[in-house]
Amino acid sequence: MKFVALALLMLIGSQTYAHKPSDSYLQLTPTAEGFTGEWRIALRDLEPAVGLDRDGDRKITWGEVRTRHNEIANYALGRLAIAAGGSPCNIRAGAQLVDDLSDGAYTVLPLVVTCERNVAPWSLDYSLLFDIDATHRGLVSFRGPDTQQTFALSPQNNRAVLSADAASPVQQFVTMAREGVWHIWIGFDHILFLLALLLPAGLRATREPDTRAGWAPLWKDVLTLVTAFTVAHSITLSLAAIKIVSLPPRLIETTIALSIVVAGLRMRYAISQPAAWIAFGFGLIHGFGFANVLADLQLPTGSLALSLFAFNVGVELGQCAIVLLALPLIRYAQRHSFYRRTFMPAAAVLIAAVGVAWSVERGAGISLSL
Amino acid sequence: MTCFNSSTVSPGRHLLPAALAFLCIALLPMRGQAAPYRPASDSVVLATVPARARTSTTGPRDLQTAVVQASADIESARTSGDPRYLGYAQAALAPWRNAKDAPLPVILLRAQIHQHNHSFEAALADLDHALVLDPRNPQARLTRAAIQQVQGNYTAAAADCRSLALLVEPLVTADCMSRVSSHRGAARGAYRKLLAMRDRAAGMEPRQRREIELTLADISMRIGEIETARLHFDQALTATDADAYTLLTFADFLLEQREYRQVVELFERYPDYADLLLRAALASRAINAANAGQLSQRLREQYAAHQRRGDFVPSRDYARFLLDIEGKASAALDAALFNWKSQREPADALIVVRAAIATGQPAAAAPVVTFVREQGLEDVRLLPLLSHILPERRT
Repeated sequence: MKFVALALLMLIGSQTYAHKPSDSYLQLTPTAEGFTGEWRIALRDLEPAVGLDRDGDRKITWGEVRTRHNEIANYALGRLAIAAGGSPCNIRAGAQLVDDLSDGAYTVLPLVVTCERNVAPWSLDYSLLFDIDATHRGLVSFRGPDTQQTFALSPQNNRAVLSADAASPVQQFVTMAREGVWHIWIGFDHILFLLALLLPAGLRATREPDTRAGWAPLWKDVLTLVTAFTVAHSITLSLAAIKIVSLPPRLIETTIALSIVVAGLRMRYAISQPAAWIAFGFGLIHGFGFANVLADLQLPTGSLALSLFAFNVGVELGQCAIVLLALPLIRYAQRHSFYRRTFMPAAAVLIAAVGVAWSVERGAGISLSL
Repeated sequence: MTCFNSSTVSPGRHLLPAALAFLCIALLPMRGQAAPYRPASDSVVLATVPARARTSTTGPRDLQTAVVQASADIESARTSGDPRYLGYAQAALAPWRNAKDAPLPVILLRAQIHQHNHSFEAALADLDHALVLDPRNPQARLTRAAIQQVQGNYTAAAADCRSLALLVEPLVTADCMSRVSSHRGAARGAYRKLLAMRDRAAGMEPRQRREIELTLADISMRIGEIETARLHFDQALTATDADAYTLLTFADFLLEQREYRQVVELFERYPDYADLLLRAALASRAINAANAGQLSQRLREQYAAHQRRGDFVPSRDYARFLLDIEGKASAALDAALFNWKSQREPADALIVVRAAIATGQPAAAAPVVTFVREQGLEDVRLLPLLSHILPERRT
């Protein structure tokens, strides 16, 4: 029999392994308190470690995984340590989900990492499955706002250290400012509100431009308008970002839509009313809208003020670009009676109508497919 | 990315101009993999546990248990094609693995793990060491013969096969010799000899029979005896339970015969054998099956995931994937030539030559041409392609 076992060794030199060896994927995103993250671990790997197939039918069902979530989390978290500034952080796992990757189903552990003193350097010690499978790798990625560091951790190299200067303040500033510009450009509701206020700028009750005064009335209107809007949304954006005030997103979005209705109506019926107050009043609400976006961007650790400022600068720059593009056109168009008699009223009605439709949609939570 | 941000999307944004929507869609792939989900019910099957799944989680404490466990793991790796078992074997041997004066059984297992990982030089170093410790060790000889044959080092392989003669039963020696000599211009003789010995042998152990039948099938294929090869494959497939290497060589045989539907069926019957995925993807493409794109995508993602580990080594299968699925001939040629440096079986030669022709750089296949000439390598699939490269080639 000794010979028989030996005979099998001949062929195998050419065997290729299309199977990928075992990996887990740990993604971490910095937050003010530490990190949030997701950890994907193959069910195939948890089977020998935790024993998921309880009924022994060689099939791992969602029921078998779901009822063992605590054991899976305890097993995994017992093999991961994260520290900030040399002192250990607390890691908690949330409700697990499933993800189908190219080589099978993985459990997804949402992680919240809280570090008492969230300061550099951040280190991560990984030992999942190394005692069972020497070729297992922990693929760790830290995702900062504009940097990404990845590590393939192995039994020989089981520690990742996140370099402290992941993003320089200048880089952070540029990133957040870019986000601000981007947001105002794709935020069609903000643009529409601004345009509704801009279009009549420089016109008075007579709807006649004061030709002798040149650019002055136009500039004056635009400047007060933009300043009022900016001051207002900066206030609420800051208040919301540092979590002093918070409003339900639906209320914010609906009010933003209503602000467009008001701006449209003013354009039609109350052109002599100064736009600055409308811009200021509703600017407060638009600020909350920006804050919601900011909350979705993962803010870099420990630089909230800088990010807030940068995002705001971005919003202003985006807004200025729109104003600078629109102003010469408006100034040129205002000379023609078509603009005043036909275009303005039509635009006013259209803008107000869009505002009404959005208000209904957002208020009632239905889609009119506009 | 701000586009389609869950908590800020409001219905009114449907009005976004088409260009912006397009931009957002274009940016979507940057957001990464498919989203995690919560399965609809407890009875949803998420994964299957392989027959040979490992149950023990604590590493063995004593050498004897560790060696038994690691041998079983290596056998599982071979049968299932899943390299996780090689990781299990390494972990089981961990306390002894890196010791300079590791015991002989550990050195032999370590050599096999290296062999499976295609670290042939490390494997050969271990085997040389093992044969110094025990010159009459048949396992070390046999493993070394197998590696040398894969490397195209036929003279050394034949020497190891010959020295097996007094150590193991004749059929094992014959199998070893036939495999080597059939690559060196004596294929028909090698086939006849092995066939005669097989017919005389009685009560062969199933795995050994499978081994012999695969050798016979391989030689038949290379000399163009297709129907004979098919008979031997049938014998090999029924000799034992499903086995990764048998399935993959059989799938390659079917592909060469353009029996695409059988390849697809084979994969459907054995979906857990990852080696079959490439073959199934190639076959589905050939018959324009609906899932061809999906299979290719799965393969693409698997290779990408493997590359992220940092220990990816281009294999001949990867070169085939690049050439036949991705249509990246020059990348395929690089991969094939890289693979050729360590592995020189006819299939390795074939992919180099095919990629070289596809890139319009037949000269790139020069190392293969030289090798085939020097060794007198016999393979009906290879020769027509070689004449393609060198029309003036003399035989």
